[in-house]
Amino acid sequence: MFFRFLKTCLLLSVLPLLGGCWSQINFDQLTVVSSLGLDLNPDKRLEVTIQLVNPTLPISAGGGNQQRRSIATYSAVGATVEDALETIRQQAKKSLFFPQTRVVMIGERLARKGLDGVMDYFWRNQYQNFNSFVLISKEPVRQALGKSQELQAVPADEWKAYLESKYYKSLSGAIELYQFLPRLNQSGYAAAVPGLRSAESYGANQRIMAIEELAVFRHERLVGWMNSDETQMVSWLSGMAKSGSFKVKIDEGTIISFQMNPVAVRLTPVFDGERITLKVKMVAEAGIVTSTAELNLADPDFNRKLVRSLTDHLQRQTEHTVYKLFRTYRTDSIGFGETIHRKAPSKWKKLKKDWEERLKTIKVEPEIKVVMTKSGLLIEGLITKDDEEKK
Amino acid sequence: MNQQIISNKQFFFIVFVSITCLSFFSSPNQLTSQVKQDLWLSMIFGTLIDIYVAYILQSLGNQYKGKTIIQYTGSILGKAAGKIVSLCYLLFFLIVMMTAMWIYCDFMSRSLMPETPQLVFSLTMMFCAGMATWIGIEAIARLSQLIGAIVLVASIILFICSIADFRIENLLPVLEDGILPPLRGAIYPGSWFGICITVAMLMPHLSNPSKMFWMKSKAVVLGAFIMTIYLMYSIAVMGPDMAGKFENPIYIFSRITHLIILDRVEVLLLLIFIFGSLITISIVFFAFTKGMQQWTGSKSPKPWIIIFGIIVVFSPFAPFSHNSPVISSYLSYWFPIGALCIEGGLTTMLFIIAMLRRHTG
Repeated sequence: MFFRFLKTCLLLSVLPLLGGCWSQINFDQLTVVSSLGLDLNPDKRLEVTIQLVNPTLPISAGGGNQQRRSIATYSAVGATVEDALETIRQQAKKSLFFPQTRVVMIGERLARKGLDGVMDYFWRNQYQNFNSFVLISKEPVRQALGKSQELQAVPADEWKAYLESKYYKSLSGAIELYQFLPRLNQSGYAAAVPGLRSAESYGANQRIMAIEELAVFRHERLVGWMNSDETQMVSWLSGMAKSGSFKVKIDEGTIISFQMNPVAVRLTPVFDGERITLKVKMVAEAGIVTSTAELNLADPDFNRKLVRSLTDHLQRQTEHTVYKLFRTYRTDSIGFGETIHRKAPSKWKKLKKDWEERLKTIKVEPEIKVVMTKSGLLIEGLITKDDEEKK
Repeated sequence: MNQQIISNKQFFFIVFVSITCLSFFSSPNQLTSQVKQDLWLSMIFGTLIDIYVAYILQSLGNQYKGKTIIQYTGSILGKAAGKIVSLCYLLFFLIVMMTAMWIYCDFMSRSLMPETPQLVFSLTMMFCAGMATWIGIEAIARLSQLIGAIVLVASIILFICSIADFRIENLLPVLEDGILPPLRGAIYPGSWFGICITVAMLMPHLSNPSKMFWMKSKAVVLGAFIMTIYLMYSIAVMGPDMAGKFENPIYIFSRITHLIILDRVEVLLLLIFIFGSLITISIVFFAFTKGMQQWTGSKSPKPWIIIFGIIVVFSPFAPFSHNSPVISSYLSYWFPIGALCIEGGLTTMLFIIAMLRRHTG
């Protein structure tokens, strides 16, 4: 009996160890880093900015009269990311908590200079959140993180929610840290990152940020931007998104917006000696969201015209996007190199050495198939301008 | 004192938990970096190696009923040679235990609790494993049933929840560099799975030893299958380039994926595998201390539990344990080769000599 009691006491004595001993951090010392920003300062030195969550009391708990913002930003310059973070720790006097970081923001200036030697921090640090979304800021990161205003109290929460949403994925081109990091070193699949800039129409006092355009990288360096339509096409061609929306001008005065869902894309390499052709097979279902003119969808001729217009538009957009990536920027953000790697590994071994040079010579052959689906509340083809039924 | 007996089902779970937890902490790093998406083939070859060893041990166990490998080595090779060969097995058990403990402490300290001294991990683990060994094989067997079920259920839930992130194209091309890299890579799972030669110490404790081969094969196949899926998921979610760069890609995969509505489930997964490591270390410690008792002819294994328990606690402080080049060549070359020589080579030699002896009368 005595020994059993002794054993129980001995086992219970292990329980205090479960608290975490050495690695414990007092809760009041812990501050969640919602965004981590990297940029170059005017002296072209690495500047790290962090956006910290500054918890405020809810109104029901008496927090209505609090004047402080829900975020606090700190910036510091350093030779390495860790060096700058050490300075920030001295300023904030807090223990910085990175596992819940929502966004990693990189300034355009730093991205254009190249991220060599900067991203190593994210590979090594055990507290990183690999699910953080990556954004490229067109304006200094320090301003973007410090002055941005969103509906949610913590702007990074709003950005994360937007980037996570499957409805906006094709437009945003959202990419998480674990997808971004390896693509910086791959030639067969280069990184492409959504851009962030302040929306101009709101004036200087209201800094509403817009997530738009796509920054494309060649290895660790930003080489150019893709506009919204091109971003969507990159998202479809790379398989990162399976839906989206598109507007097409059918004729003078008729612009139709389509909802495309699903969009299935298959990339196939065709080799003819030294010549490589990229065959893009795209099958999409399209439904009309809105139109600026009256439509008679019951008319088979009009229906065919509509499908042809959309098909032609998608074809032109595919060619334009791929040629812009391959010929203007000499980068492969749609992962065509990886497609060759998977389908013809022996050929890829020879091609990958000078892949960026070969991109210029690749010919694109899109094969688009669009299926029109019924959508919306209207009875198609029965409504006229005067709201009279057709006889 | 009555000999403790375990059921075949309990034996199945001991082997299953040992295989999965050993693989979780040991082989992912070399396999994913060297073999990448073809590692499933290495895992199949590794499993075949282990099934072969299990067949040999079953034959030897049938021939020398009620005896452990330490005991029948003397019967096969004679007293002096038998002592030397069985000492090789004992030293191997000790090296395995120290290596497993070192890997466990190193991983915990680098990934989860970097400020905690490694001694804390080895001390708590050894305390629990020592207690389990002290009480006996029945306690370890019962615990393994519980942990085995948790490992299985948690793994299946995690796999189902991660289907959305699974990109099958990351697993292509198949056999990009031919069959040689997966064949060479088979030494990693093969050597770690082969640690289950400890079953040769458990056979006298089995309620039905004649079914050992069948139960062990089933457990190894299931354990290898679960670990292969973990590794393939890691590659399919992260891509071969990223998965190949990390010390433990399964851990990173658990950080990236979501469990229903929960993010960052790595702590849950680690908890399960730490429990499993307790079984693994306990079973090797049981085999080792039992073997020491039989080798020295002492009455009880308990003094050996205390002596070697203290030695193993200091595994994280072994010479060269923080010397990266030495550790790298030890884990990727010397340990697998040495382990396969003992598990496959030495055991096969015993089997051939025992067979010759039986035929020559």
